[in-house]
Amino acid sequence: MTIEFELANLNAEMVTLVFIANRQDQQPVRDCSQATVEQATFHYTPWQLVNASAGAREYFSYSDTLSVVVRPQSASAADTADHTDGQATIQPSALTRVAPGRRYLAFNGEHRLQIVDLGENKQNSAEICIVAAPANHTSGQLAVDWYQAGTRIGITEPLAPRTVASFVNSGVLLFQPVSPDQQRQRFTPDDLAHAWRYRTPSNALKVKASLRRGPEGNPDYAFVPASVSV
Amino acid sequence: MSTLFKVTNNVEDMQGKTVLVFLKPQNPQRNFLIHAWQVLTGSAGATETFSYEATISTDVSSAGEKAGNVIVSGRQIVLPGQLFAATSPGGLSPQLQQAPTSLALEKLTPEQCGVINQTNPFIQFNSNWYVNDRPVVSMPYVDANMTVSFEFLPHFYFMVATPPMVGQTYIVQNFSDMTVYEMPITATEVDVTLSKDKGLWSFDFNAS
Repeated sequence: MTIEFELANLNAEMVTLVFIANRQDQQPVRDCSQATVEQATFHYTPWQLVNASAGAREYFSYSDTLSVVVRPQSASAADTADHTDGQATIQPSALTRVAPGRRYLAFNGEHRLQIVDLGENKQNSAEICIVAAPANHTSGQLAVDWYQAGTRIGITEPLAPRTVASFVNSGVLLFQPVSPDQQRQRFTPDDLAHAWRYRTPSNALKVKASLRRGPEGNPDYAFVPASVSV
Repeated sequence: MSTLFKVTNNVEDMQGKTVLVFLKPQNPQRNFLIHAWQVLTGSAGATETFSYEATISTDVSSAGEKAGNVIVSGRQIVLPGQLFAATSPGGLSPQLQQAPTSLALEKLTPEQCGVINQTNPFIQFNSNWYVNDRPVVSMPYVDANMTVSFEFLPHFYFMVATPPMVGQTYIVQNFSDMTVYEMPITATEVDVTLSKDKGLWSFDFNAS
């Protein structure tokens, strides 16, 4: 289902970054015993960068379809090179569509990482799991880039062999105002602790959001229809 | 001054069609995207009204950072002879503000309204023009330091056609298929009657 958003910037000289929330952002990776892997992290990357000036409106659409790219942790998502320091390395996987409630296995193919569907995730029908194959089928630490409609929305890393990266999209969007000159590409969950959280009511297909600076200069967002509780 | 148009569909069957009313920009370019200014969906025998007032407004639309996103600036009312400059404050999307009178005199005739692209860094945009807050024309691909101007006369172009789809536009050549009505400047009310004879739709006008 696609939801059309209109974001009106009423009077703020600010950019709005919009993120797709991952309910597992604090426990993004677990091992085979279901224990959280402490050193693994999830970083948000902006799904939308809304730079409408004061008085302007920007339009974008949201759907809950996600895809992933699994890559060696040392490689960026855009890497296509297959040699580093003279040694052959595996290429990132193809962008692969993933569905809630399913588990996927990431393993080394001949030249690039492969992703196959392992079937239903019986523990959680909303969770997407990316399972890193055992060490003899993967080369070192992996990273998972999560995408929506071709835009990266988050990064889970490192993903050691025999661990599971997890993403639960509950339809919550995070709206974060930033100065035009303070844009960056990675945000920790704590960085977004004060972002405005919005979940579209199930019967809504269009949402009107507005950004306004109040009398004391603080930005604020309003949504029509209002968010359901998140 | 406002003029009220009353359009009566004096036909037995509209055959799923609507009455479209257009305003024609002066000196239109071939790439202009013309909008149906009024879309009258009255059924056979019905009378539908709309009002006209020569209030012109403008905004600009540009592409967002993400492919497929569209940004529309705040809309500004423009008087003939006024020029608005599109700037990009702080790297944000184009914003319209009134340009100095000296620049307006340099770029426009007293009858023209205009927009100049002064975005820095450069942002290409479409310039959209409205009368009574309803779209008349979009002028695409306004480049750096380029000025586009808008001027129209109270000449109303009527056509019977299938209802336009959302966002549908027309081209300048379509005006040749329309019935033009040049409204007297003193008119406060215009009765328009649509009829059909031997497959030919026709409009009659009576101003008071």
